[in-house]
Amino acid sequence: MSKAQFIFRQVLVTDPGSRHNGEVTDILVANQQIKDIGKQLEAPEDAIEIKFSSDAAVAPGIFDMQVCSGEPGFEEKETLSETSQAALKGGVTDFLLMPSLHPVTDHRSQVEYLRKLGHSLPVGLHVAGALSAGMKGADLSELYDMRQGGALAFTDDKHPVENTLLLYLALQYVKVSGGLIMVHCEDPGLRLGGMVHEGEAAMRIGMKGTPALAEELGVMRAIALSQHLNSKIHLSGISTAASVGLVRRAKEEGVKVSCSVYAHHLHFNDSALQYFDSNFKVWPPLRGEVDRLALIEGLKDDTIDVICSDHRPETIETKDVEFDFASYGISGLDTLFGAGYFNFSELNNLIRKLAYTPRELLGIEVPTIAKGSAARFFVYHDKNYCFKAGMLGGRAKNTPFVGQNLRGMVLGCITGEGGWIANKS
Amino acid sequence: MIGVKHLLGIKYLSREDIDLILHTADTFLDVINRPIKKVPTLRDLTIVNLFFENSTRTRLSFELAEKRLSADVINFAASSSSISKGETLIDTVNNILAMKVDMVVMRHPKPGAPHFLSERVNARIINAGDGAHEHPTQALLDAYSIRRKLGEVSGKKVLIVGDILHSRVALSNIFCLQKLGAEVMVCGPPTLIPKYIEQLNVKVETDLRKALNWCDVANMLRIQLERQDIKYFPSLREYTMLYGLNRNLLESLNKELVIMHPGPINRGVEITSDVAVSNHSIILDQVENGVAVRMAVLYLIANRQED
Repeated sequence: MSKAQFIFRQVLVTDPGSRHNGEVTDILVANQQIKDIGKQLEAPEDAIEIKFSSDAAVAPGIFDMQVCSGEPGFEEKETLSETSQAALKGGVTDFLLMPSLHPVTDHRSQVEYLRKLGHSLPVGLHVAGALSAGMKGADLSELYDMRQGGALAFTDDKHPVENTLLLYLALQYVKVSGGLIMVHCEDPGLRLGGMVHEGEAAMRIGMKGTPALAEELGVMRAIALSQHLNSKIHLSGISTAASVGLVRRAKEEGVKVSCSVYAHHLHFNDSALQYFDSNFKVWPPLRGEVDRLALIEGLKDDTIDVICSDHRPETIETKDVEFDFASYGISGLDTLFGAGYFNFSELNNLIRKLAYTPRELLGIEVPTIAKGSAARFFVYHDKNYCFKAGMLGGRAKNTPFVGQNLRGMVLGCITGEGGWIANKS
Repeated sequence: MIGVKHLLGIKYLSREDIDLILHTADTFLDVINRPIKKVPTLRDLTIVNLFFENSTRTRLSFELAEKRLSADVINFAASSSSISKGETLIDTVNNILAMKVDMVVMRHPKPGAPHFLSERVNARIINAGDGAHEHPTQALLDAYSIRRKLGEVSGKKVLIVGDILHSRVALSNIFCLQKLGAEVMVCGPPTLIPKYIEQLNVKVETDLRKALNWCDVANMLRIQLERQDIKYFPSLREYTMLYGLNRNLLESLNKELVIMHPGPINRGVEITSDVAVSNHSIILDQVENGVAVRMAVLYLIANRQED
């Protein structure tokens, strides 16, 4: 734990929950708390003074609700320490670790083990347990015991919980155990062997597409179950225009549904596939431009609650192969803020969807930029920038964002665990 | 000079490139009809035919084209290869290239594999079919065959019948014929027609008789059951009832119609034997033209100067 004192000079506060929102001010941090906020604060003798060039802004640390790492089980992809470095590059001070590990996080001991590993990291590691034992979609995991061990949510990650009865039971049982149920929405029967979105782009490159309808049927099922059981459900990474419409209507009817979008779905559409670059191979697949624009509309009217990265580190061996043989996923922590801000520039709402709503959904405190709050924020440069391969913080290099214009390069993060960590530009 | 370094697909070619290939093929068609069928054009070149998927006629056609041009030829089939031992495509190809091979003719079951390879190895690549993506030399020889039979491709109405969803021949043909100014219609069971195909300015018809009434040329694709992971229609029998071309149907149309097939034919399924050997059919001309067109492609790609 960092005991150092830091004084941040002349930074713009961009935090919709702070009374200092919009002010250019100094921030004094001591004992991992924001000790003071004000213009031209007097610095304590031993405080480390941190100054930036113009256009530096601070925002509450991002909570990324969907992150995979390779530890334990797939350390060759990325260790938790390396994942943390990627997080800090993207302004992410906390993340929810998916249970897709080896062993699968489906037992209290694994939850506790991961949380213990998290204590040595410079960011906050939060654990999601598997909804079903082994993520096999057959039987419920011990949700209550995992919750007692500190799991915040339950999910089978990219497995769509094909067995509707299982999801039905989980949504009932969670009322006792607590924790958020997160589901990937898909009717696997309609996947049709596709690896990309069914549309003109897929047809032009001779690839079988999966219809958007496969996701939308999954969204309909999740909403219907949530409504029937009056139980909260979170839809992870919706990606089609019709999915946005379905969630919008469900919210209007009072269904307890929330959802997230992955940053890469805001930035790219399926035309990116024309060169067979497996860095664009993600699940759900990149959709059409109509879908991309509908997702941004969904953010504007609060149909979509959360923006997250769906960080999935992969190795050269699993990515630099023929498109069909490549693994799905983007190493996305580093570019979460940049891609989010570039495509959705309503700053207050953006910060809500990155830092506030994820924590509210998971029941943890939001580190607002206010006197007395936990010092957990990041500093960024409010300008467009070109993302370069050298900016990646983690081990994995599987990103399609190299060469892309993004907005808001993260200059550094302050966390209780790590103190002030500046990004090398 | 041809505008591309590799032949990865028709969609990367310009109209001028296609005209150049077809024009060059005329010369080579003369060559292969002479008593001495060989020219020394590619005498110093070594070409590997790298087939990761079964093929008889395409591989033979390429091999003949290469030999007629005096290239040294080696053949590589995936079944006897190290792929099954876990070697990557790049390593396999680089090992072959290390033995001083100059060009790669590749067939691969996955779309985009030749594109992927072309960006990672130092050799000219010719795509001999990649999954359901493209089969450019087939489309070129089809266009060439239409041109020889009907004088030109521009303004002609060409029908493609069968499994459009899984067909690289269909996609390459659509791109090629449209670039040459032909109109294209596809016909087949609705389950085997890509949902968005009309966005390629292609007409869609599910009634074979109506489609045949519309067209000047009908290209009857083979039903590729081996590429179908889902049963898209109830039975071959029912497919033949709806989409098979037989003598009765042909005669009832009472029109001149050019019938093509990329082979191998399932006799009695997509066309009956009597139709296959009728005067309407140019199926064997396609095979002959295939060698000339592939010679043209090999010659033009091999002789293209570096940028």
